[in-house]
Amino acid sequence: MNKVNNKKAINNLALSGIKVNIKKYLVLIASVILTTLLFSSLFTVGGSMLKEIQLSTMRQVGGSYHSGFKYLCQSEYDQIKDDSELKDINYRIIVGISNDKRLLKTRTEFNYFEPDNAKGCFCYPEVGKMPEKENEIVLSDLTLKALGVPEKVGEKLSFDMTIADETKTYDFVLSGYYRGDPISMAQLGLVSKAFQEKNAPTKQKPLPECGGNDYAGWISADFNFSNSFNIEKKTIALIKRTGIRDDVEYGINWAYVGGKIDPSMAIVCGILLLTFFAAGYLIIYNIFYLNIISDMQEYGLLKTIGTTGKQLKKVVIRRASFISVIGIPIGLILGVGVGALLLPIISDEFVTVSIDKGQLHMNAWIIIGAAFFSYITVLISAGKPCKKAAKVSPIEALKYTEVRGKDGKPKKKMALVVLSLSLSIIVLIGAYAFITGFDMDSYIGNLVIADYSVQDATLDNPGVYDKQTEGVNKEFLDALEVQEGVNEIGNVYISCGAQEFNDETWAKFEENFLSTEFVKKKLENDNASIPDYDVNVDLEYIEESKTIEGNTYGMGEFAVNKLDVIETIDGTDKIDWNKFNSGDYVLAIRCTQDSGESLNYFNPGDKVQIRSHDPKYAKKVEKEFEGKIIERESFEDAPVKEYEVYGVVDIPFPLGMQMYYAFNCDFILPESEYLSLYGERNPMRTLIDVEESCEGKFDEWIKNYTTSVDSSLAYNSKESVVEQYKSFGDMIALVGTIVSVILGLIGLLNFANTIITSILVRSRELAMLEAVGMTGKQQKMSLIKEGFVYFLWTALVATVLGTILNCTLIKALVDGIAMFTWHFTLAPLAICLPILCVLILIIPVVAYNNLSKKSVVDRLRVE
Amino acid sequence: MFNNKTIARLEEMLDAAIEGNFVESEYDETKISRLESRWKEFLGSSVLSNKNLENERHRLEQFISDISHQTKTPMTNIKMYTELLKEEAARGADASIEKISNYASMIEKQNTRLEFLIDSLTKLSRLENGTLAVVPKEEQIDKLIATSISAIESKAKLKNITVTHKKDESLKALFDLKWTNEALINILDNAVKYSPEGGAIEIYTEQFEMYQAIHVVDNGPGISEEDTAKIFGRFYRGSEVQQEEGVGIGLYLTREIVAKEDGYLKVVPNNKREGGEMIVYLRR
Amino acid sequence: MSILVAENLTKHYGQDDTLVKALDGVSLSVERGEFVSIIGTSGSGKSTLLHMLGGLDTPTSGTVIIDDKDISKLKGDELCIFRRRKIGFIFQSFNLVPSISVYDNIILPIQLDGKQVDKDFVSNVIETLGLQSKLNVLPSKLSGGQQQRVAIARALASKPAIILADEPTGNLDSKTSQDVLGLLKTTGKKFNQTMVMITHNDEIAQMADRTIRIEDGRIK
Repeated sequence: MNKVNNKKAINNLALSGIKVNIKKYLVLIASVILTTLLFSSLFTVGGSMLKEIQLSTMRQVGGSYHSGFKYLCQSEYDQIKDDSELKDINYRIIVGISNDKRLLKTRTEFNYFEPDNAKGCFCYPEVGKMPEKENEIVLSDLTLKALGVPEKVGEKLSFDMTIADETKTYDFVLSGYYRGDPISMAQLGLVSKAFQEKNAPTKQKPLPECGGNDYAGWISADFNFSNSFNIEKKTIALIKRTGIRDDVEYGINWAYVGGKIDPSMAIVCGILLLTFFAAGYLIIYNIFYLNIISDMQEYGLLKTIGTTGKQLKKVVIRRASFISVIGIPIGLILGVGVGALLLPIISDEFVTVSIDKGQLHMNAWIIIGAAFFSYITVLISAGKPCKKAAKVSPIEALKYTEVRGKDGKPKKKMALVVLSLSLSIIVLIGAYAFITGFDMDSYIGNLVIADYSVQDATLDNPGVYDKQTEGVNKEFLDALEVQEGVNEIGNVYISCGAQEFNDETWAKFEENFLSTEFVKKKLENDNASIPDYDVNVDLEYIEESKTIEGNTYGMGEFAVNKLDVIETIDGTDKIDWNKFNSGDYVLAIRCTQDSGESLNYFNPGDKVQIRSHDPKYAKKVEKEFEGKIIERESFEDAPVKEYEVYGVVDIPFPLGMQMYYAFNCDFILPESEYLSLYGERNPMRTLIDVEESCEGKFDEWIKNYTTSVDSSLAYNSKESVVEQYKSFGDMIALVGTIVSVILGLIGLLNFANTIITSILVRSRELAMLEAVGMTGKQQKMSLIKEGFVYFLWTALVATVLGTILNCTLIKALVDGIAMFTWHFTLAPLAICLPILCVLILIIPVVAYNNLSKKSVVDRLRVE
Repeated sequence: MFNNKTIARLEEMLDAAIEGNFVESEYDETKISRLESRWKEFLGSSVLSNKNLENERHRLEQFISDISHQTKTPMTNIKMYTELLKEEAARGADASIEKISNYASMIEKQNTRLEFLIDSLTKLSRLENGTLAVVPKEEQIDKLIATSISAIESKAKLKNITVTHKKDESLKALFDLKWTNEALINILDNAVKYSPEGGAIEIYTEQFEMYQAIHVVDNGPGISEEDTAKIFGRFYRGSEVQQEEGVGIGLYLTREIVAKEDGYLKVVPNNKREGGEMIVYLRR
Repeated sequence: MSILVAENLTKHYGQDDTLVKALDGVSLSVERGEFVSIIGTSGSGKSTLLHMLGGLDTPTSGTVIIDDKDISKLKGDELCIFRRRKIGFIFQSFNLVPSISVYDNIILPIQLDGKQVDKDFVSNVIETLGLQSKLNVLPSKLSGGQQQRVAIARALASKPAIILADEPTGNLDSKTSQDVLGLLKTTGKKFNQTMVMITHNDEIAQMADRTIRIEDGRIK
């Protein structure tokens, strides 16, 4: 339909209304800014954190590409490179791998990279340039450090490299370097095209035709699709479409595969989003509502002269949009700023990348998302007042006074105010419970068993799956040896894998453990999320394989002393080190369920067999697995030794592997016995106790060692744990305080709004009362009384609800986290209620004083 | 350009207008609905102008009958006095000079009356059909009042009536001096006419934000409340005042003149105060 | 030809015992170009009548026909648009939009209808009401009389079928009232505008061409 154009009138009404009541709208704009600030800081922090997590995954994987093909020859690459579905594609060519003593820990792979591919693989030189001449090379600062070469372009260096099974020493000139991330599986070295063509010429025939085992000369193609949805399907489709061989090896970048987000983080984000949404809604809604009520007469008279409800709605929406246009950009800027400030603090609590940690990762979606959410909040908040304005009856509006109580609205408002005020107090109670509930001793006791624990950086990094379990190298141990003040050193070795037993032991194991209800229940609990899970199938499989998952630890006396002993053959809860160290004994772990129930895999006195996993016995065997022949390492020929179970123990959290399977049938051997059975190897961890007087010096040394000497090592110290506790506690206190302050502000704003609205709509009534002789003091008293009712309700609801929630939900939450102990406390009530009481009594008086500046006659005249 | 529905509706509207029973179908924000409303507005104003034409014709008929009616008396009188004069003259030397001169002066008087009547009617007709324009401009109120007073001074003196007016040269208003003079004279004339012997007429001014008021107060009988709306009709004469000299055309003319200047007249009825009071409001 | 015809209008509030008959069978008609005043004491139902005539309220029974259209059947936005196009209101309390300038107030009903402003006509109206120098100020800067003049200008500017004035001088002193009434009277004649004014004051009612008296919801 052809509509008449009345935009001009609407715009004029909307804008001039703002101009005249600029003060009122400044408050609105401020609330929009506040809301946008909340959203954009959340989005900035959330988005940056997600990006950081993704980035950390990418760095582990080694690239930011959606997907890639490995081991292509030139013709195969040409076959796919022009595919129209690909957004971009580029490649690198494998040349060789480091085989230098200095680079044992810092495995470095050498490739020729296309410049774009280098960027995508995070190895584009930050200083210097890509290699061009044959002898030019780009390395990571970590590789350079390991090589002992200064970070300087033009530096000459040489090291041993294996190219196609041939190890030689090569001389290079450093043309550039980049910052490597220890989280990556391998450091990358960039050689020139000339070097590659000379030493590892590009393969011209497809892999199946070539055979052989050398990797040199193969092309790794990396590519992006237009978006990151369903990458695997797209990759398979690409293989079909381009006709490249079916068995081409492809790799999907799991940084893009969903489900990587920590669900608890998602829930926290969701709750914050909702809270902010509600907060914004409550503020903006109320101020809008107040505006509409005070403008009711204007809307009414607009109606009498023929403004339709729709047009009035448009006016309100136009005003809402206007305040958004001003408020949202300011809020965005402030929010991103606040986000940038908070990011390092929050990022610290999560394990992600180690370089550029806590950095702002902005993208358009963060801005658009925050702006969108804020605008939606504004629109939704304006919605109801808008309807009210549209529905106003012209005659009623001309003498608008709110009907109190009758239609329940003020009651509803009162409920809203009381609820938001009490909610803020309850949140504060919750936050307070967390802060006070932190059990320092149990936390420290749980996490710290020695002054220092040194291990490979990957070991305690939950983001890394490929753990280095032999990370504590000789160099470190040698360096440690000469440190002053070291009281005790305890090594912990590990060999991961499975335990095998002879038939007799297995039969006993089956009888005592596998066939029990306990195991059934445990498996069923663990797999509750899998539909149609049949515990019997699982058990049958275990019985058939006659192996059970379990690690074998080797521990020195110092470490063994830290174990929690459950029972021993001696009937004591002490381990006699000399007896244990005789070589005939082993310690067993017990199986513990989430519920706290536990069952021994083996009892003290049982005989168990442990097979050596010394690499020298390793041999490759082919084994059928699910219909396929796969090659795997086997220790079939390795010697097996029988031990008697000396006792059953629990391994304290900071001592163990911190990676769990369905079963962890772990055994602990004494250090010397372990090494003789498994062969010489590096410890997984080394525990160190330091003389108190030397702590400062040692701390400095170990900090320096793990950063500049050997950055693959990480250490936990008692200090750092305490600090971690503090920062964790600080974060909870910070977030809790912020949320409760916001809620409190909303509550107070709501309260102020309610009171001001009530004064405004009753201004005539109040003036009338004054005219008949009610003094200002008396009126104030009645307003204060009204406020006091709010206070009483709030106090009541906060106390009752707070107590109930405190004893149930908060208790469950606090106790749910290991290092917290819940104590009953209502201290926040004692602090908050008096403050609230004062505010609740002051606000009406201030509002009234503002109103009563006008004379009685003026107020009476307003009709 | 238009869709069929629109064309159909336009035709319907036209048909209804010809039939004289067009009504808008509904009111909404569409252009066609607005067009309907404007169409109705146009039809309404054309009905109004038709009605005005009708009124005009009616007025002309009324005018002609008014003229014939009003001129009848002086004409009859003139005819009668002429007859009498002729009779007296026919008596030759017996004729009474006194009577003749009396008749002659009667004829002259009737003639003057006729003249006034025709003059007024001409003015009125010129005013109404716009041949003589009323051109308001800023003028001094004092000047207006003074000229008007001087026009009725002699008449007032005859009845021994005092006319008072407080001068204030600063007062100004928007009016056509000549025409407004005419109007004010009519009012003053009336005041003199209805004032008793030895009465007093007071003229005073009052200022408003938009108007300049001239009050003319006499101590005659005044006008009753039910007559206030009627006195401005043509050839009206108050019921309390039986036929005296003058014709009822004056106040009508006065109202027309003042209306042309965006001003208006107000009569204070005699239940509100003693005596007569007429107020002229002129735009400032 | 009547521009406004009201037939047998009744308006009842409440029920049974508390039933109030604000209007009780009122019939009246107003001719084009006429200036009619409706006079009655407070509580006589005159305001209710005016609200009915202006489509601000719907009658319990009876019909209101304005410009040949029965408006007692119209509802909501339709009634609103009807008012915008056909009715000009002048209220006791002026009811100007406080946030926009005098000029914007005057042309608001025209703009709401998306019509082109007839500049000559509007400036004629503005001049007649002596508002030339006040066009760009906000209503709150004007005196009561000036505000009411703006309201008259607003009512006239959209050339409505009828102007309804509800005690237009109720909030004004007697001198200013005279001004406003004079303007109502003269502009009504000048722009051929039909006007209905309600008042409780005889003298004010006298200004009209015709007076209708209402008492206890009935016409006397």
